[in-house]
Amino acid sequence: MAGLNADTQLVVVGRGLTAERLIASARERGKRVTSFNVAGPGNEMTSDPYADFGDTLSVAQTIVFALPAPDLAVAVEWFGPHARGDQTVFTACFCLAEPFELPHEIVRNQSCIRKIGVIGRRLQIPITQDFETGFVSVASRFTEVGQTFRELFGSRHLTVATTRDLVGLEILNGFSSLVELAVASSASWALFPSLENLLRLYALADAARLSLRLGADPATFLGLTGLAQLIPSALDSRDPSTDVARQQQTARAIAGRAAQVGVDLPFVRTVRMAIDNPEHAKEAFMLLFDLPVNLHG
Amino acid sequence: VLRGDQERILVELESRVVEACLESSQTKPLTEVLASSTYHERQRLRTPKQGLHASSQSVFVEIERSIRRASPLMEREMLRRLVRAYGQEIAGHFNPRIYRATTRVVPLGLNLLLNAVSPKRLLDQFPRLPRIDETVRIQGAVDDIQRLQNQGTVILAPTHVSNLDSVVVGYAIYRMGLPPFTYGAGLNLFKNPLLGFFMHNLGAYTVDRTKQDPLYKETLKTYCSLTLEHGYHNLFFPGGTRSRSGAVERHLKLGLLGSGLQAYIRNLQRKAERPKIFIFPMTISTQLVLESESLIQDFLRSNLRERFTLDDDESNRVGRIFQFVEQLLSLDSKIHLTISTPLDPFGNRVDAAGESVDPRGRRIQPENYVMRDGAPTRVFDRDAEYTRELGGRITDAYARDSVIECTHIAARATFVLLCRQNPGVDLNQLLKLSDPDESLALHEVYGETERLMQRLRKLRGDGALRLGPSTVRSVDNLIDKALQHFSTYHSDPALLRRGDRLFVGDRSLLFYYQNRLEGYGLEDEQGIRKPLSADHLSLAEGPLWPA
Repeated sequence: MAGLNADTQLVVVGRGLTAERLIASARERGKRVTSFNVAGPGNEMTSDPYADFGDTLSVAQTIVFALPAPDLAVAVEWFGPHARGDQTVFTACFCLAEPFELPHEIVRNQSCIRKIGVIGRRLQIPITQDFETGFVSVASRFTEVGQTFRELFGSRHLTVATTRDLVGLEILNGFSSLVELAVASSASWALFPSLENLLRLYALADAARLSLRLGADPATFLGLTGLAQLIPSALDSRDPSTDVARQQQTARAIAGRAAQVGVDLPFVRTVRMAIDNPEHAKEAFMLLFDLPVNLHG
Repeated sequence: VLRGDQERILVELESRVVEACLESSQTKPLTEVLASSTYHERQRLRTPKQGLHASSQSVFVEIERSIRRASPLMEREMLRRLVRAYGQEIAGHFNPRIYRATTRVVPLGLNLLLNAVSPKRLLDQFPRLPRIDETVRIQGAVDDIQRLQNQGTVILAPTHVSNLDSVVVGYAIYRMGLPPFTYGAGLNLFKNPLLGFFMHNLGAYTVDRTKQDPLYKETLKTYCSLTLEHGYHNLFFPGGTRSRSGAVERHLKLGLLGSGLQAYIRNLQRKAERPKIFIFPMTISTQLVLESESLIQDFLRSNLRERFTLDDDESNRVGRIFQFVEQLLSLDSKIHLTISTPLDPFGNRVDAAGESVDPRGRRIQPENYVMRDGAPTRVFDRDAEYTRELGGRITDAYARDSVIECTHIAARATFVLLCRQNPGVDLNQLLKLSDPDESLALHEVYGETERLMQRLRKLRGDGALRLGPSTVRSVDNLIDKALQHFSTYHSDPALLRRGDRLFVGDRSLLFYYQNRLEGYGLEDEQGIRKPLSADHLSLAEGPLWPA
């Protein structure tokens, strides 16, 4: 629940695993956090949930929106009139808006905020039964935003990788939802244990081609940055905030944008086919696996 | 810059640059700074045709002689002398008497020149003589620039296609009733004694693009910032040099542009009365470009690697300038100067009252962007990013406010047909293939032009570009007008009509003029591959039309 607090430095807007983890990390570091626990199924924001939303955000130095992109648009709409140029805004959006608009563009186009950071999926690696280590990517064009993230949420058990590639990371975030969807869809007929990895591979190829077309940095797809965002999406798909409708919307948004820029995305097409015709999902995925993995073109 | 201010600026320039070097001497010792300067100067002098600069040359000799045994105090003194020498090389000054005389004489002279070079036009229109203000059309945010110049300091940031741009923009500044602007002009423009005299006395400061020394660049930027802080309006060409490819600039040199933000922060720090800096992007659009032949050849030859070595082009040949102006008039061509919506140093739009607004039009306080611990502070990385964003908004404005004319459209339509006619051929080959018999059926050109016009009208409706008056005519008239333009000025025209077929003459020129339509996403619909890279600085690889 929220409350107006003049000393508030950090505000987290959202409900779900990502928001919970960020709040916990910041509190562990002794930070004062105000959270807006957005109500409603799937975190939908359809009306101003709290009268003090804008006022609280106006005094914060850092704001995290851990929301699907459509809800982010509503939240930023309220936040926009109160925004200040010296604030830092993080987004953690794993579902994209339709029509396609990347989360950082939503913030940029609806407010005066410039210092925008994009948080990627967090990868938790269990070391022992009681101990796990984590990895997260943060993208921003401002170096100080990465430092802010480390200061607020970092710990010696959490590796924070920073990149300037907002577009690449946001599209990977969106694709991670589709991988979740594909994995869920294939659960009933999965024939071999490495199927999830195969799905990730095709997803990565699609994500790379679309991202590069939209101006992402090719380096994002060369190494661990990309993979690290996709792996947890499948392994860690037990996010209670997972919303199938939002994932389907993400698939439509990505497909729509890809059609506009002339990029063929076989993985996305297959996921959409599997959603529309669940009885033929297996057949659709088998057809996908017949295609070569196309990283270029 | 007036003489009294100039002295103050030079003193402050020296102390500010030296101070900055001393501040960073922990990471970059002064010895390294001085060694780097001498290294860059040696490298520069290795390039043919690079002149010595008397003021800095003696300092370099001394640095080379004594750097090895110099004490920290001596190093500091050498640095001070070098910065002073650089400052003196850069600084221009403004002589109000010469400005008054010039502004009285130039429009009259230009009118006479325009009439003298076109006797036919003179006879046709006698007694109503053609006037330069009919040829140069100024449009866009003229009221804004006139109003906001009193509320802060203005940076005018035009596109750059020709050496005539400085003259045309200078004239536009005068005609809009603005006070004189200070501006950075390439060293090559000072080589002509007469032009150099006017440049020196009309507020131009020298930019030597052959100097790659970081200390020189820092001195230049700081000089520029200081002129802004002293309230002198500035004119930059953010593209740095003339567009070689003919395309609208997508890649800007952000160094000088960043001095706007630097000046703004300084103004806030010293609580200046009028701290605001307003940036006005401006497009210069013409149907023909004086130096198009040399520029495109330079672009193709060196792929921009040696772009500032282009010393001898059409702009240095008086006969060609006359010919160009004559054609411009005889064809009733216009030069469109479009002033775009003003921006603040962060790339936010500025409203009519001079207040920065967010993308939704809500007023914001731009000083917040530079606050750290409650005080305006310079942060190098952050400020560089703000300037990059400003650069992005400026290139958006360039694309939006470019005026597309018949020559660009005809060249584009023909170029697309030529690509289709040569499947599997890349740009290099396409330009080198010069089959004199290769031609296009006129009806095909009309058809392609019609399709292109439909798309361009849609883009104009969306506010993505502007269409010039030469495009408001039927497709066949538009093509005729473009052919007239090409054939009357260029010795080997881009396009020629024989009967019902169109022959491609100088393919490089065709490429040059069609490039003006690059960056508007026309390729997808036309089915060709983009011939230029996204930043418009180099050629894309691969066939333009699949085999």
